[in-house]
Amino acid sequence: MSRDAELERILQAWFDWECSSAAAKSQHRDAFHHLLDEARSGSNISRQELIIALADRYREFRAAKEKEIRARLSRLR
Amino acid sequence: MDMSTSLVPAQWNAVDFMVDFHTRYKRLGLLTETLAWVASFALFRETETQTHYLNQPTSEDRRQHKTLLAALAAEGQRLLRRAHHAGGLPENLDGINTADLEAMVEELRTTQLQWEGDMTPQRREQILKELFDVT
Repeated sequence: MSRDAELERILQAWFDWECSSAAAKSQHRDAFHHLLDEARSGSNISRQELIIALADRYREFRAAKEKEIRARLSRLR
Repeated sequence: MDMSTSLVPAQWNAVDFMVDFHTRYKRLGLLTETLAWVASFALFRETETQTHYLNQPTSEDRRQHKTLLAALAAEGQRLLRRAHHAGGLPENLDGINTADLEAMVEELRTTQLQWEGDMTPQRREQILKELFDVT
């Protein structure tokens, strides 16, 4: 898998965690952590550091997703 | 209607009311208080979407977001301690268990890191380059 695709999967997993129902939170949290741990394996970068490093990219990712969802909903109305 | 100047402050006030009410009046029992907290959590996320992702947040939005995020996380942590003390959340039709409650509190802590985490641009660039070969 390319590194770009790996990054995209992490952002998608983060988004899925935030958007999941309450009863699915632990499952999505574990999936997100698994991808973070895969990405940082072999480095001395902590999960917290990686989350902070990805924060700006995640903001852009979620903003694009939310706009996409709103646009899709308004087309259905 | 301009959402950024009229409706959104009312939504922040609603989140504030819901978090504050259940923090002050602990008389509904663990499960009901937890489900009410889950509803506050959902309203917080919806308001965050309006203010921080579909619009540019104002300084008041940022202040409310930071304050209510901390209050929600603290209340979630208290509920989690009570759930552990009680041997877990009672079974419920929504299927929410103690692990989910724990994951929600952790999600809020992750959001705090996202918005308030401190890192130099050089360190950020170094991490993204090392792990993903991007800058």
